[in-house]
Amino acid sequence: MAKHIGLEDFEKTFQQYKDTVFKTAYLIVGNVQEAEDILQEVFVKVYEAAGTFDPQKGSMSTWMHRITVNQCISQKRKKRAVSYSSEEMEERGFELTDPSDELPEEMVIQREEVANMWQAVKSIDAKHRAVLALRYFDGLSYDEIAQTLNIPLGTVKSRLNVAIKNLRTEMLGGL
Amino acid sequence: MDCERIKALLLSYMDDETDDDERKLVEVHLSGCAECTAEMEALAVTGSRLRQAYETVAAGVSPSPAVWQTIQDRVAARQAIGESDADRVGSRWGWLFGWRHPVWRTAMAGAAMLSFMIVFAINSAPVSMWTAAEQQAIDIATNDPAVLALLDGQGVVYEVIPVNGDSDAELYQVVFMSSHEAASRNFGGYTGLEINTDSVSGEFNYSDGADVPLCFDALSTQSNAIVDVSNKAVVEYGNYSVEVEADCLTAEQVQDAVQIAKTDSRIGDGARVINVALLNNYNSEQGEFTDEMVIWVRLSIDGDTYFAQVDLDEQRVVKIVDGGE
Repeated sequence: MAKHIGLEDFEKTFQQYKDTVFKTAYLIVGNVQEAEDILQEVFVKVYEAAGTFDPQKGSMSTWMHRITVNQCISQKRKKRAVSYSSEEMEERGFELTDPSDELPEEMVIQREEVANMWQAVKSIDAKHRAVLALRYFDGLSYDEIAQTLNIPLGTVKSRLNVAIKNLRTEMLGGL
Repeated sequence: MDCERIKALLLSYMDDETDDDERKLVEVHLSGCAECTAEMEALAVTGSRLRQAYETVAAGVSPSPAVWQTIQDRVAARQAIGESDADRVGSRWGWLFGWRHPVWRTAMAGAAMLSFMIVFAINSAPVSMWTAAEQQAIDIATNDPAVLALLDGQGVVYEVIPVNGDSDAELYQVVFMSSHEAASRNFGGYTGLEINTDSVSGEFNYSDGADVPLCFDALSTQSNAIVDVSNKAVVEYGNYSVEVEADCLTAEQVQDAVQIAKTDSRIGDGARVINVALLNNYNSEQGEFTDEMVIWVRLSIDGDTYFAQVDLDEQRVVKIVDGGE
């Protein structure tokens, strides 16, 4: 039987990390509903697996980020398995407007620079988006990213280099 | 020292993530190389703009207030399942498999080639495949004259995909797979979409199933309807063609898998088989689905649903997880 976390501690953990998890997920998947689904999945897992968390092996923050990124990547995989891109749908005659391609409705972003950068971020693959979000949003060190993703430090460096290079290419292409 | 090597170190250098030797190397090079200095400045600008974009975008989104209650409800349900069935199945990883729908993999081969690799046998008993809203979308689509004309009496709902994204609209893409002659045969006589039924399970019955398994072996057309559930209207609809290769279980494999599952001491004869499916395996350590396809027998035991992963080569149940909804 799994050792569950107490409800009071669970709520404290949720309140402490919900924004980090949700926003990191959103920056990786680019869709509010998916990010909220991921938030749910992450905290259900936290509840179920709290007994396995070992602070000796890493911080709670690292653990949270790891679960979040894994969930983002598996979520994208599942989504890819059952869905088609808006371009594909449009090719098939649907006039789909996918709001996930837009910035959040409540935001009015007048700075074209930000909008262009966000579009560029969304054009690169999930693995590279993950390292970018962990570094440039969550502010994790390379070591922390390596622990979070369970990848070598050298891989973190190369993924960041590739991701930034791709971003710049996309930004240039958008000019 | 060539510029390319230095450029590869610049990001780490700027982030103070180089060792002493690398740092000295970069600094010596930068003192005499305008190109790499310009590259570093460009990287700094990109990094700065990226941070600004992330801050701006993230500031504009937040989870809904209801999400905490949803999580509480879910963990309460998981706990109830765990407490009642811990001795029998003992899995706490069932959340990993809370699939409402069969998980199947679409592989892209070439630019437009789609391979569909999942087939599942459906019991005739109502199967709760859809949420209420998804079922409503199906009902609306299958009552729409234009969609019915499109389907022309053929087609099976095999997926309903929320496509509302960030908006408040309740849009669902109802995807129909047309069943031509070959597929129809494999559907055990279930050749058409059953309109206005409570499920899409059709007439197929595993226990009578001479025709097991279902197998889309050469499907060529998909029909789609985009349904606005709020306004109870079909927004868009259409057909498109796909080239399909199927990766199917044979009838013998299905029978074998069921036999192995039902003779497992943890499961027993009282279990009812819901379906047998070829699904992506799940790596619980990595927390992600793998490309390996494995056989799952979905079972109902005393009203609860479980997945038994069966290895036909080893003739054993590899693991059992609870099956969520």
